[in-house]
Amino acid sequence: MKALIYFPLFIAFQLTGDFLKEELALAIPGPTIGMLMLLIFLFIIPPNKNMTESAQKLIFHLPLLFIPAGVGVMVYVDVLKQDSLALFVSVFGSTLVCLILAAFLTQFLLKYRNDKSDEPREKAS
Amino acid sequence: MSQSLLVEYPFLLLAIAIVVYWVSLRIYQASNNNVLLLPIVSGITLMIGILLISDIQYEVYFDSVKIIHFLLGTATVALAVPLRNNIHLIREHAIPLTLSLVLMAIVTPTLAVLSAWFFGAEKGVLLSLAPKSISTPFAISVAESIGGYPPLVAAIVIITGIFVAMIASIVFKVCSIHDPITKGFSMGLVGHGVGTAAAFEMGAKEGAFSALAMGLMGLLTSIVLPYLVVWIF
Repeated sequence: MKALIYFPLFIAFQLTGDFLKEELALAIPGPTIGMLMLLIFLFIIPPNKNMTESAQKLIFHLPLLFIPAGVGVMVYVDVLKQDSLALFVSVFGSTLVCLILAAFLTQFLLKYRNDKSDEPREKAS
Repeated sequence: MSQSLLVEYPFLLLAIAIVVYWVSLRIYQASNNNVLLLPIVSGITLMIGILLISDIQYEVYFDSVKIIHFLLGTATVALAVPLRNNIHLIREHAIPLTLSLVLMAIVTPTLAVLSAWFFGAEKGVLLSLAPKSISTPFAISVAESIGGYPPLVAAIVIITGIFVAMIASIVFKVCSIHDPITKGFSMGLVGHGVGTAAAFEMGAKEGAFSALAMGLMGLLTSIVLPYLVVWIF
């Protein structure tokens, strides 16, 4: 139950993010703004064990939190039926290819850098 | 189950939603983490079944479980904590990860659009497919600005994420990819938040890098995609 203490902190950042999104008419989702702000905040005050646990608790149940949005698929069944072959190929086929590509690419780039040099990382981008 | 009862007592639907999740989670654990029984998959399927049987509108359901959807935003904010805890690793690999991110931010939407175009999808559908690998709020705002159909986008995005969560461990096994950073980062790049949830299940490191990839992919895609679309079409 100790973990619950930090929920209000996360919610405060979430609401601030929503507020900033509305006020500044940003294209970035409110929770993402909240996440970035919390990240900056955590550089000033690093997370303690309880906060880490609190975040883990919440993140463990991420699948539950996606269900309300996911159930929305039922409304769009008819829309999904049109162009169903193209949608099928794109959503399943291209996603599979992209996941494999992303994995090999990331692995290659990480390895390439490690093999190439043990020198301290450059500042150049 | 009478419809009026559920409409009259909205908390009943919320309670049912939580029980459905709990049952889904238990089934998943009992099945020794079989990907076909991921809680998000069985949870959504069961819930849709219940709504169809009791003839309840999606809007009525969504209204009662708004609090769960609200907590999705809270959990997104909480992702900052594992990010902060792994910041030394992120810094260490900043350059290769940035390169991978930029390349995938171009390749993913291009491939999604091209494959659907090849099978004859119309332009609105193509534009709705372009943001399929970024989290829903990003994807919907991008879709609106480039001319996709927001409801279709929402459905595509969530199905894409679920698909990534289901196939990731098999793909990594077949391709013999064992590095947690690689696993997490690629799941976040292609499978946004749902992929990230699955990555956290593999481990804290996987999860942190998936959260990183998800956030950056969302930011970058929403900036780049409007320009990329002009170039593709």
